[in-house]
Parts: sequence; structure tokens; C-alpha cells
Amino acid sequence: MAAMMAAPVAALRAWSEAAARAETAAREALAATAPLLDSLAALAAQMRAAQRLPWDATALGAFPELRARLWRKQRGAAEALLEQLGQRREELRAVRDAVGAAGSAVLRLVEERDPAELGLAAVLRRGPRCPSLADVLEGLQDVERYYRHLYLEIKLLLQRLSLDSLADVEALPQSWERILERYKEDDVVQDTLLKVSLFLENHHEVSCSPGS
Amino acid sequence: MAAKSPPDSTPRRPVLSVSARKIKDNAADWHNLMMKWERLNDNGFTTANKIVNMRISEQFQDNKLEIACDNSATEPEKPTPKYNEELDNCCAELLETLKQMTKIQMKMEKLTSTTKAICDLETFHHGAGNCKAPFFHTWPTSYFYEVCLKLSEMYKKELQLKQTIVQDIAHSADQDLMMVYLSSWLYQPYIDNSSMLLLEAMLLETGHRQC
Repeated sequence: MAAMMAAPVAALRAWSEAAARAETAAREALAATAPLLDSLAALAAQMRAAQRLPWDATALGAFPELRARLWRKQRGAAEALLEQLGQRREELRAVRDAVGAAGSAVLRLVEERDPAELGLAAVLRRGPRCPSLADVLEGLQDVERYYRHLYLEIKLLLQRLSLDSLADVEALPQSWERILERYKEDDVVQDTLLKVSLFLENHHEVSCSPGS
Repeated sequence: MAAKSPPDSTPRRPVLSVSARKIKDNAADWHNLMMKWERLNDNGFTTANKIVNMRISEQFQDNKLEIACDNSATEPEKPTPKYNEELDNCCAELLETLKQMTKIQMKMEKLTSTTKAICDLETFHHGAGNCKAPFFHTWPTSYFYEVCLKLSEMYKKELQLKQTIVQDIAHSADQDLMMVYLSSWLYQPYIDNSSMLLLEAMLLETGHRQC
């Protein structure tokens, strides 16, 4: 039993390390996204105020080209913020890819095993403190799906963004907060990490026990 | 003036003429002044932001009072505007920032006129349309003056805008206008993005920056 599980256990250990790294990277990318969205929303509010202002009726009316110049500067600042947001999106894409690759490696390894060697019973065997290999593999797929969806959310959010609809840009922090709320409730990453660590711990004990 | 100048004590560098030395120092001064201006701009923005926040919360309080007065059966009495010490301090702070920016802009104009004087001196010595070798790498002396003038004009217009903002920011009741004031202060519409390029090109030409 211990011998036939040796390869999946090693692959799961590698997955566990990759998932922990990915979780840190995702947390950092998400933390860095919120202030950028706040800045972009504040900038959109300024741009809308400039659109509404009756320039000629104010003290600023005396300044030639001011409106167009300010608009150019604001657009430039907005584009710089969008670029930074694009970098955060790419970080989340890298997280998705890393978790996907680590998960695929484990699944491929299990699929390539001879069914006689790693039978259905072994895959489904579950202990009081140990999830089955099937449970663990399901968790891996859940985590992969979690990061894939998270990446798609930010990708779609940024894709829909247009500086021509400033009211939507101004509402960005609220939209983002709603997305995050949904993901905060989902403990799939922590649950799966725990599941994998229990599985690894158990199989370490089995492989180290004298009768194994 | 040349006799008073200390001899160049760094033997590895080629000895620059007095005019070239002056242009090189001017380029360094431009860099320092522009960096100082940016710092003051950031500080000024923080102060202006506080002023706008205070004005908006004052307006909010006034609106609440007006609603309370409308609802009460007693003789409506317009609340007297109370002295806001914090707002007064912020205004004084912003004025001080503007004063320092004015000083910087004056120094920039002085640098420009010095460069113009060097150009005039060159013309006097060698005549107009001469093909004298450039002081540094490729720039003719007149190009230094053109760059100084461009930069100086940008900062001059920007300072005028800032003066208007400072005069009105604490008196305006229009929130859109206050927001435009803040945005204009922060993004400095009259200072083109090319200003940094011009500065860096000047620093590169004069040898302050290495290729």
C-alpha cells in the first residue's frame, strides 16, 4: 500500500508547496488591487466633476486649454493605474497556471498508474483522520477551479472597464468588494490544504510504521 | 569673473570653459528645483485635500442645521459662520507652500536668463550663425536656452494656476469646482510630460547622467 502510494504522495507534497506559494501570491495580488481600484474610482470622480463644471463661469475659465490639458493628464493617470491593475491580473493568472500545473501533475500521475496497482478500493479508502485519495483529488480540482474563477472575475472586471463610462469606474471598489465577499466565504483552498496535509501525514505514518 | 573661478581640480575630466561650467551647474540646479517643486506639490496637495474635506463637512453640517431650522417652530435664525482654526491653519500652510513654489519659479526664470546671457555672450564672441563646436556633446548653446525657456514657461503658467486655486479653494461652495481644483493641483496640467524628458536630456548632455 505504502509503495503504490509513494509516487502520488510525493506529487501531492509538491502540490501542497505550490498551493501554499500560490495562496500567498494571490493574497498579495488581491491586497494590491484594492488601493488601485480606489485610486481609479477617485480619479473617475474627479473626471466627472470636470465634465460637469461650467468652466467659463469659474475662476478657471481664464486659463487657456486648461480643461483639455487636465483631461489629458487625468487620462494618462487612469491609464497608468489600468496598467498596474493589468499587472495584478497577470499575477493572478500566474497563480492560476501554477496551481493548474501542480494539480494536473498529480492527476496525470494517478491516471497513468496501472489500475491493478492502484485499484478503486485503494483510491476510495478513507480513515477516521485521513481523507481518501479521491477526496484529495477532488479538492485539488476545486482549488484549481477557485483560482480559475478568481482570475476570470478580475479579467472580466477589467475588460468591461472603459474610461468612457466614468460612473461605472467610480463604482469599481463596490463591485470588487462584492466579488471578494463571495470568495472570502469559500474556504476551499484552506480546506484542501488541510485535507492534503492529513493525507500526507497519514501516509507518512503508514510508510514509517514497522509493518508497512 | 574667470580669474575668480577656482581651477578645475579633477584632472580626469576635461577642463570646461566658464560658460560650459555655468550651463552644467544650471542643469543641476534645474534638477534640484524640479524635484523640490514636486515635493512641495505633494505637500500642497495634502493640505488642499484637508481644506476641501473640511469645507465639505462644513457644508454638510450647515445643511443639517438648515433642515433643523426649517423643522423648528421658532423664528429661523441663520447660524453665524464659526471660526475654524484648523481650516485657517491649513490655508496658511497652503499659502506658505505657494510662497516657496513662487521662489522656485523665480529661480527657474533666473536660470533661464543666465542661459540667455551665455547665448548672447557666445554670439558676441563668435558672431551669429557661427559653427562653434558644442560645449558638451551635440547641443548648440542656443538649445540649452530653448529648453530652459520651455520649462520656465510651463512652471510659470502652472504657478499662475496654483495662485488662483489657493485664492479660491477655501471660499468655493461648489463641490465639483473644489474637486477640479484638487485634481488640477495634483496633475499640474501646464507641466507637460515632456518636462522630465527635457530635464533628463539636459542632464545627459551636460554629463550629469551617463549613457
